[in-house]
Amino acid sequence: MRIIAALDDSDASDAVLQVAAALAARVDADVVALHAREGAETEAPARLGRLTAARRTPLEVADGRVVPVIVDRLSADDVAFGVVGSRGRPDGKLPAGHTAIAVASAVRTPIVVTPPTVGAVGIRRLLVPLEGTHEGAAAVAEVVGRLAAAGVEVVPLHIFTPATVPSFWDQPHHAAPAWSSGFLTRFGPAAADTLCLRSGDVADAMLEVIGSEAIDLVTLAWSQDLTGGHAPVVRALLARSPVPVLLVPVRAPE
Amino acid sequence: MGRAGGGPGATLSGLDARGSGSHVDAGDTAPSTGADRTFAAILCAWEDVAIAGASALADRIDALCRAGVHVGIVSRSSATAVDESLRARPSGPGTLHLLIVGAGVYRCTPDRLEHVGRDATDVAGLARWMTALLERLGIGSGLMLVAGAALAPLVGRPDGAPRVALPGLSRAVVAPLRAPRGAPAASGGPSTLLGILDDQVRRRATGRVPDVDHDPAWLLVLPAPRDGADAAVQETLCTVADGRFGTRGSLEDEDACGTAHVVAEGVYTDDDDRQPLLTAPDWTAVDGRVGVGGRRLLDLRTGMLWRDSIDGARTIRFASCTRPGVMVMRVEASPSQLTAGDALQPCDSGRPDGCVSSRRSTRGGGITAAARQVRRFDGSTATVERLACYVADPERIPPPDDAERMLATATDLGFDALLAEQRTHWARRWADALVVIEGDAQAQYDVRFALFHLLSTVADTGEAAVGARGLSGPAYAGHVFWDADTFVLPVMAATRPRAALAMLRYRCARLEAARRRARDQGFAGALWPWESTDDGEDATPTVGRDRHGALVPIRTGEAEHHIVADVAWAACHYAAWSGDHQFLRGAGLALVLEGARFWASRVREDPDGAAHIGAVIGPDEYHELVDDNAFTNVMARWNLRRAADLAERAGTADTREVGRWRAIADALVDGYDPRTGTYEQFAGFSDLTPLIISDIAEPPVAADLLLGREVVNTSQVVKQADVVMLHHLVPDELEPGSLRADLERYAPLTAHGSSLSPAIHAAVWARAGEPDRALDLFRLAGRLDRDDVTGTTAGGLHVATFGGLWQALAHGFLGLRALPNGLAIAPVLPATWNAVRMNVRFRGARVRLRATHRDVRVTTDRPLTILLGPERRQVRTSGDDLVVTLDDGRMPA
Repeated sequence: MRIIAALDDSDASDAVLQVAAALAARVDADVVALHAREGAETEAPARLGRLTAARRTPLEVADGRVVPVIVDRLSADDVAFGVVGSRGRPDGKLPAGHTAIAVASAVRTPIVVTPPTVGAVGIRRLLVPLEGTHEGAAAVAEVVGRLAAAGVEVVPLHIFTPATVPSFWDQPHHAAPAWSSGFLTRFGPAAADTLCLRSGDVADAMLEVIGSEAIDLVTLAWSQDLTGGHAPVVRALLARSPVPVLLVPVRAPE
Repeated sequence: MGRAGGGPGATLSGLDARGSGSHVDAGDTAPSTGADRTFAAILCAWEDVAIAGASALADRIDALCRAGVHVGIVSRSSATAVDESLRARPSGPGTLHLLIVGAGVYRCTPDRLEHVGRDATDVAGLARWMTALLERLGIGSGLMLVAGAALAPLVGRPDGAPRVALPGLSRAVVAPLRAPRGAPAASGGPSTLLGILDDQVRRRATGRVPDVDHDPAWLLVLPAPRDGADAAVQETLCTVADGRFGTRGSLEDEDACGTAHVVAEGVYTDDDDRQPLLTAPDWTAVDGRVGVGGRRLLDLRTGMLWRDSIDGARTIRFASCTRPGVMVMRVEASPSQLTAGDALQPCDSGRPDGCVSSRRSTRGGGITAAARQVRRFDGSTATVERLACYVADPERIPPPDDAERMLATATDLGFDALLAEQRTHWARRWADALVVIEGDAQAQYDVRFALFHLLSTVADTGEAAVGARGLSGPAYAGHVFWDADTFVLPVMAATRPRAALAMLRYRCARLEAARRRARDQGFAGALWPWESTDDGEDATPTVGRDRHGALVPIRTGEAEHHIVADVAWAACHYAAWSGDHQFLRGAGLALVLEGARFWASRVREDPDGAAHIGAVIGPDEYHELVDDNAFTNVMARWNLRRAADLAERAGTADTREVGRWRAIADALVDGYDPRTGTYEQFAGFSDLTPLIISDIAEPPVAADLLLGREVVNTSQVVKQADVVMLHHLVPDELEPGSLRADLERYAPLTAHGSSLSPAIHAAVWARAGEPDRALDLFRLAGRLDRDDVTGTTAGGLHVATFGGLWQALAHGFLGLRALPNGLAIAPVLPATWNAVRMNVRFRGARVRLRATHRDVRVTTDRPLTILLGPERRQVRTSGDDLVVTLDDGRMPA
């Protein structure tokens, strides 16, 4: 099983390698670094060669257009995760770089989008926001199960919005565990027995929990479409999350 | 549908179940016409069956009656002639009746023929007499086998055309005594009847699973669960309980999703900081996979949970209401599927036919169970019959001998006798609590479902600690709230007064703890805990989390003091309905007096003479530590005045103390504003930000989650009936004319974020003369658990909502009130309802009511004063039917 770390010679490359290594350590996978070269550039491969050598990570430099090359490599059957940088610079204006979004939108492989500011990483606590749909829960179930089996502590989260707030909430200290239990039975990862509950703006609440619960990685199910205002939560997390975001495509209905 | 086995002897492949009797679309509940069945009663025509041979018939009838089957024989001959020919002398527990055309009904006992009924003389009348007897024994027509050409037409026509049939036989099964043209002789005739009877005898001897009556009006029908979440909700809905022990409806299979859960009422543990009910060993699990697919039926008529599956396996289980603590189960399946396994899980001490197991509470109490099982075979069908007996004690671990003794008694009685007891016991319960809503089968079903679980939940001896989720799940940890006193108890007071008394004994036994709690907080009297367990201490946690996950204080335990008046109200309500005024002169008196003493010490008196109660939480828990909550103050005032009355009546009153109670009651501010004609919910409520909840979200909605504690605390948004609850509990304490004004003021502000709220609003809207508006809220309450509206039904049933639902029907739509001079009835029915029939107990009388839009019929078993209509015109019943016509909703002069 391999994890492919897509490097672009930006400030994020080191963070991408670190996250890939941390993930590989958890799930017992090999990290392969990939640099897609358009044209005849030589300096980037050289720098990335030194960076990967220092981490004892093999580097493949593949010629061709960046997105198709990365998508091609990530689509191999033995690739468990892809890791890409969210954007080249910490102050980037887009929620994520064009490459990251294009790759994540094109492959079925789970993609970890890594912000450039991630420091020394270990993946100990995984935030699993659940909106309360079977599709979303099913999408992340396998990945979450694999990480939980590898010892990652799973922190499921549900955020009440005006559209989803329960009708009744009798005695809050009793209602919360009763409701959580029912919710987890329906949608929860098998590894979790407690549910983190919040209300309000979904992205804000996720970011708050990432901080308050010492989260190292957050996973989101998504439909691989950020156009036209779709997936506002994914957009917000890619832009603002201080920790890597693991994007898992929702399966198309059969 | 295929079945396992079939066994030797005659099969019933020619049987024909006719008619549905269905009022509710509860799915396809009718048993397959070719199914092998175990009947509870047989009605046959002598002239058609005698040809089989009297001696052969008598042998089989004796055997069937020994197994609990009730047999009726209709004949045009004389009773003596039939009896001398048949010479059956059954010893029971089943019965044999000769139904003689032109002469009436005779019962055959071991030593004589007794004439027991003279009214019915024609075939239909005699059959009706028999079905009425069976109804009293809890046996519906679907459990009846009918044999004979003279009787078959009463069952109905197989082509479904309009029938001239006996409603009481609508689901009966007709035995094929006449062979179809061209059919082999074995498919009909006398030998077939003998074969059928043999089959019935054998099915009992081999422990086959008996049927339940597939009557949609009385069945909860559940398909095989889709997933674990579905299974968890079904487990709750299918709970069987006897008032002392509750068993969730977990599937019997070892690999089934879901969790077995058996608890004993009143035995708590400190295993976790919630102080939950102690979980007992499970008696329902069997090794292997019992069945594939299929469905489960909870028979509300008899309290039995029945299951079948597409591969022919079946199960039945019940908690014996006659013998609390005795659990009964049968399972049948192919031998390869069914190995019984341990009779209890876990099993501490096993033996080949059973085991004993105990669970210890960290509080010193415990639960001990003993179980025994028998494995048998009926041809290619294996059966397991399991009896499990539970003993619980909150203060010690019951010795195994206690459970073993119960088990020995239950074993001696045997399955058939326990089954018969169960059916009869439930029939008696329903006779006192029947509800029929003509024209609205769904509403009727919802009330029956609610009543079934309420009647199952509350014990009627000793003490009854009724937790917020009854005995049906782990949510709310079995803690006892005001839900018990003000929502559940009124149902019991009017249907099972002994159960209401048991609920009050629970409070009485914890009076010292309540006194201590009041004393510790600097008050007099008794301060009941907001959340109560076995020790009477407050079990309410003090810290929780808000919608942002931040730790916040939980203040209900420290400030929801209206519980003091709620308990006093429950005591008085029980006495008013039951007529047990001795209770209010004895143990119950302290519940009221100590409440008054608490309030007298709790109030703050202004120099100008006004009395106030500060820093409380009313039923609307969105606003904490408010001053002069109308609900709290008016309930306190009622408590003070009622205590003064009772103390004076008892003749032991301290006149100074009583005088002070009356003075404080008169001085308590209640928030009534004559300008608006409404009560202000608490001091300063009107100054909060106005907020029409429907502008933000459609109620019901948990506004505290939606808006946050800060917003709801500073807004005029109400969680549940607060001022409105006063109109429900103590209408006479309020200003005339304020009911409608308060409803119009508070309804738009009410989020109904509490499951207690919709039913109470329904009751009060009905009293305001708006039954159709009430009906919407009534329906919401009715489907709360059925449709898992809260998302928490998996954790247990909302028994207070069930209580509220019944109260909305009884106190709202029917306008029933127990007044000092009689039972008030003032029906206000929704337009879509044709009539409501309700049976209640009132001061020792059994009262049967039927109210339509035009009239009220009252039947009582003893003279009773009825106060009819809004004017409460007094009418005296003499024990016969009393029919009074309503004119435009008013009683005629």
